[in-house]
Amino acid sequence: MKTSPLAHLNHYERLGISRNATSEEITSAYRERLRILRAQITQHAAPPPDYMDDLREAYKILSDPWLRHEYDDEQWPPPADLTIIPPPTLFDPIASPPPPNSGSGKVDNRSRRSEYQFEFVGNGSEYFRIWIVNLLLSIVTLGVYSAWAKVRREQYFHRNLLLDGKGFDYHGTPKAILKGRAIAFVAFMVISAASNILPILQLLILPVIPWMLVRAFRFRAANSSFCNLRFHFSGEAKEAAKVFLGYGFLSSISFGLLFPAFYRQQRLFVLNHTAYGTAKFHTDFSNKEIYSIFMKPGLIMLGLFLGLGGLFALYRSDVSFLFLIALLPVLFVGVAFLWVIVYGWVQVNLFNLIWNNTRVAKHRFISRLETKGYLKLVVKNWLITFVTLGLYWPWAKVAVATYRAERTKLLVRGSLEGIVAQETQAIGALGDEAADMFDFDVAL
Amino acid sequence: MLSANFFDGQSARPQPVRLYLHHEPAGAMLEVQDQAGLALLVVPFKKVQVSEPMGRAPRTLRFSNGALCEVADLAGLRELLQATQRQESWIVRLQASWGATLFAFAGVILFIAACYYIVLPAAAKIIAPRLPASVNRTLSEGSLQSLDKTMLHPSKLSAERQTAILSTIQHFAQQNPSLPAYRIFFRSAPKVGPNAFALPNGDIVIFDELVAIARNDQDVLAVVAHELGHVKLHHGLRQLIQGTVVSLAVGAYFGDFSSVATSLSTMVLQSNYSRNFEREADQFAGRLLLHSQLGVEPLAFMLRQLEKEHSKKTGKNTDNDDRHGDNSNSDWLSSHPDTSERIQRLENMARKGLGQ
Repeated sequence: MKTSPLAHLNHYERLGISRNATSEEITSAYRERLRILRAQITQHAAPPPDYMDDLREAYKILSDPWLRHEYDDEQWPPPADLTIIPPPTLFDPIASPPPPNSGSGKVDNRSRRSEYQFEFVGNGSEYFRIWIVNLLLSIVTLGVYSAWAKVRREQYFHRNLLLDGKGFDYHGTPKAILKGRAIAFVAFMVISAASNILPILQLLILPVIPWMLVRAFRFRAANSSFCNLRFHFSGEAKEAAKVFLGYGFLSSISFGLLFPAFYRQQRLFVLNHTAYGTAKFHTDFSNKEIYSIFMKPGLIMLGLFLGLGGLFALYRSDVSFLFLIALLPVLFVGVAFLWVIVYGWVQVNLFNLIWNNTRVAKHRFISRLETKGYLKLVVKNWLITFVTLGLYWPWAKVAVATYRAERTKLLVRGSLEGIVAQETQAIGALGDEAADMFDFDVAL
Repeated sequence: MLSANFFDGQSARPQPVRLYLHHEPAGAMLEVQDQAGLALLVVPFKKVQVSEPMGRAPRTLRFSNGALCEVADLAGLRELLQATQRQESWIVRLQASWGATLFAFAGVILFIAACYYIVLPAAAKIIAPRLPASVNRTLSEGSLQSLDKTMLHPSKLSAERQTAILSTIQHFAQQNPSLPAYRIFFRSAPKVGPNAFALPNGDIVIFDELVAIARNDQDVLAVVAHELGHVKLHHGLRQLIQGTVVSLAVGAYFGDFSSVATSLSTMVLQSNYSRNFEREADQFAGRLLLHSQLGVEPLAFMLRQLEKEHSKKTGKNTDNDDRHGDNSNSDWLSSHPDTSERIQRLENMARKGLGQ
């Protein structure tokens, strides 16, 4: 008797999909395999019976997030440094019995797994009030108060984000932010003054960028906490230079063809150097996956611009130039609308790709943003914000945060309680403010 | 009594606790009790840092040793704070009130409107003439050359006609010593149609198509006077300064949201400035024309002609006689004011004798 040709393959190979396949891809791959199988049976070329069993087994495991998680960890054990170091003697003012839900010797930790749901409990009108009051105060104080406004904004979005009912927090202080701004401003002035005298001195900015970015990531991480435990960023300026200058340069000289690779390097650099207490973040996704996200909208935009260019070239000869000028606003709005959709589509897919491939220690993120729902939300936000001249913006921000949170989960193996604090050190806001000033995207 | 989660700051482990407030002669004391009823901490309440309320977000009570209690029972915490006479900061109270929010909103709008309509134009008016002349040169340098390579063609006007126009302008300039230094260039641009423009350094370009729709050299002169108004009043620089500030401000406001919203609203806001500059230039030209006994009629005629040509170009069906007609071209987006309004203004000037 023949054995199934699938016997020696792993579950992903059995379905012919990549390790990072989404649940939709898994289902459709399974369906496709069944279709082929059915065709083979009708042609009397049926494979051995355990072929079907292997397929079914693969689908059963991969379609269940928990079973898939377990399977992945068995097949590809997480790197050793991801396993948690047992906590040293804890600071415990008075000895107390362990809370009932904490791990005790009898329970098998491997079998204890839970889904922690993210949740955003902010609301638009509340954030609108905070925003507008702080905006007026910033104006009245000629911008000085904006540091306080920034802290409040960050706190609003950190504290209203809950995981398993417990809140995140932001600890940046207005004083640190003001100091950072002052230094960044002076540095900026010095560099632009110097480059006025000698243009080549503009290059001075280059070594500053990676250093500044690293400081920014560090400041952000060190000032964010969950369960009173801070995040931590350990990236070095040297690596940042490789990613942001090296890949950034390649991306710009390749007319953006290498941008997806650049983007991937950025995200890997940031996430793989982030830790929550002693629990390290780990993320990995391939260039192929990131290109497949950027490819579709890239081709659409390219086609659009070629089409428009052709239209102009064609019409310029006989129809009046001014008529085309009059047509421009219509084209402008049309392209803007398309841009909103394409941008939203890319965002959803990137968000899912990145977070579905990220874990913190042994705990895995699950992100289930839906393209249609998210695009509806984004278009609605965009239209109302535009019609209300931007007043709807606070509601829009809250709506996006809510949508993302309710579709994101953390699959926790055992519990998060073993995660302990890292040694901390004070970090200035210089990088963060400088990065804001030079308009870098430092979002996680 | 208030339930909370206690986090020691050393691990992520939550510890369910109960909070009790004791009123001592020295002030309120806060006791944190664990599940077994044992005290984890007893601290003077005034040393406890309480986070600002933010909607439904849990609030934290932070202790000096780095530990904290996260309280989800917001109503309970409010009672506890009231019992200790601790007030929320005035800013929190402002944020909580819709009245204060509306007041702040009105304040912001008022401030922005004042900046946009008064402060920024006034500042640009003061700054622009004080910038070194080299700025204007840098702005203009190369513009004509690059236009020559793209949209503009050499003029087909006869040398006699060019000389006649030049001498009319020269005569006019001698009568009006307040005119800025200028250079006249003749070009042809059939695709653009009748037009003329001025560069900030005083270079003025007249299209053959403009000369073609003029009845005589005075008509051409009237348009040149308008363009000289732009030069004299530093409109190029002022538009640059105001436009830059506007786009920076709009960028800061919309920046997070959308680049399309940014550029569209920048366009709308800048076109209002540009319309005001057209009005100023009209006024400048009108005054000089009245002063030189030419009257505002040539300029009014040319404006009407230009509009006619423009609507022909865009294929719009406008009735020639309907001067006050419905020029529904969205006014708030166009860089020039409505033609009938401009002519009305010129005629008002003539009636009031502003030229004297």
